Amino acid sequence: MTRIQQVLFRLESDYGGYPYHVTGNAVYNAIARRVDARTRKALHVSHGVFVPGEYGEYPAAHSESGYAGVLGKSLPSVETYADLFLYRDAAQRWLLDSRPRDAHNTFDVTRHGGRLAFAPSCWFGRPAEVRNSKRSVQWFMQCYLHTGRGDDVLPIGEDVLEGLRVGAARNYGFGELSVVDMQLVELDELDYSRVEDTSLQLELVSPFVLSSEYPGADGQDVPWWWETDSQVRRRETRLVNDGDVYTVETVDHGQVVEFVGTDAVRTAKNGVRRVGTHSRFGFGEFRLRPAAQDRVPARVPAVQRGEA
Amino acid sequence: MKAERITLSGVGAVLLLTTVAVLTPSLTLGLVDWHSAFELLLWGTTVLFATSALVWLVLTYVIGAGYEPPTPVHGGDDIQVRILTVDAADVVQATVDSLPATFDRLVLSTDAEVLHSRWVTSQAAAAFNESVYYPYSSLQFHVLLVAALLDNYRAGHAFEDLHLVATPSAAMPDQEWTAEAARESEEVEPHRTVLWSPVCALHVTGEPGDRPSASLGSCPARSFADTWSRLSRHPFDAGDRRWRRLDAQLRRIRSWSTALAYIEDYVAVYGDGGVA
Repeated sequence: MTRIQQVLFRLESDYGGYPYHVTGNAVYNAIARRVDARTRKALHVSHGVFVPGEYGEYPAAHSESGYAGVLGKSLPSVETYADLFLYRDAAQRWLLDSRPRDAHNTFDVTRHGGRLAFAPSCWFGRPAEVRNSKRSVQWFMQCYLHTGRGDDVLPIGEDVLEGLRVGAARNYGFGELSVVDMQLVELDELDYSRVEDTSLQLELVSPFVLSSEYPGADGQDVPWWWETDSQVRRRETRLVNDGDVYTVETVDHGQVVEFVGTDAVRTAKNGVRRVGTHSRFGFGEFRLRPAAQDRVPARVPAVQRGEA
Repeated sequence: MKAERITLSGVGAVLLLTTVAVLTPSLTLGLVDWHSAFELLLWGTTVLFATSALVWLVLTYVIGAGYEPPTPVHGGDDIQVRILTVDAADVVQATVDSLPATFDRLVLSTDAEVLHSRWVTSQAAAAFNESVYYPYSSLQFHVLLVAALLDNYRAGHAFEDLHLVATPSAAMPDQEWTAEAARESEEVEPHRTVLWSPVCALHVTGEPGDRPSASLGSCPARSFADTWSRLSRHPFDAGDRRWRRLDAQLRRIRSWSTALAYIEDYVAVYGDGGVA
């Protein structure tokens, strides 16, 4: 039995940290100082993905369909494997096409004496004839916690998670988070029927670590069960622990490769609990999806349109 | 309720009643004589049309007599007509013939490469949206993307062969960003360069070679974020905070023209340095 605890935070102040996501390492360190040693040892934390609170509709792969009202401000219930990833894609494909989704999904940049930060909400002007002259779109951050096998410290209470601070300039009030929603999901009880018996693609949700300067961390190759025509894109990033900075060589997130391994369902579950070194701190999260189902919803394969 | 609506509803009701009375007289229980109902309908219609014609005559020739239309704010002198079709001479001639004689300025470019270099560096076109319904999109990049697609199709490439190619910029600080400079620059590929900026150049092409590239997929879609995050190499230094932030924002934007406009705006505001 593997439970994960999904947590949705609201951004309360400007965020000056890593712009792609809040790293699992940052969230872990923020939580670690508030919990006991046993929890600290057992806890694994995913990267936090930024989500705007806006009107949307469920994507095709989701267990529910159609108009969803406001998404991003709460955690919808999770019934299938695909539901886990509703908020985990930076492109936030559930945003309605009928509204300025690209503007809603782009952070407003604020300037603090030569330093740039992301604003926790963005203001939009409204047409002169309507009652309110402007409206705001707020930013949220979704991540999930779980433990290694045999440990049972979940759920982490709201009082522990409330008011965490992440990213740069925390002492100046930056990166403050408040809890808006939490839920426990049992990975073994989800419906994995869409990833069984079909050709699959693997999409990296967070970077996969190839080598690390961190003491005792082994180097790793790109796994044999990833197949790609060209080289996967690499990126050097840093892991900060107790003021020490370690360089980490990774495969960049957002890369898509073919999955050529066996036992897709077990791999899918491992992908949620993440693979590779530093997986405790959010690295190595991936999603499997049927190769026939493109992650761009409008891109229906030519075969299905009857052209090929 | 307005008078015209009341009149129309009345005539409609009479029409319905007459139809019923003429087709199935038994339904009206003998209360309506269909001859007189039909007569009423014809008279009603005739009077309605005659009255409206009379009203129109009075408005036009009595009340509106002596009306002079105001002089237009912008005359023919202020308008340029640009004809961009160059391959089909008969189409161009037909268009020129159909223009009013008041236009005395006609810009006819026969060099598509010059046109492309002007669109790539245009500041005026960048100020417009594709449509008021898409306030954050850009007319400039929409046109450039369409031009790149057309050029690739003419060269025999199908959509699934196309790639987004991102080349790092080698621009010197004294680089000029004019149309002439674009034609001289090696970074700008005629028709296929969709963005030429101090940070990188982006091209849509069927011949990516060994440059950093990502396939556009099987058919046109709003897929910028996906294509961008699959690029085989990064066109700019993602170790620099400024560019990392831009990279992160681009992974959120799905519309192509919006994303290209965002790069241009971001570089214009934060590209000079002084921020981290």
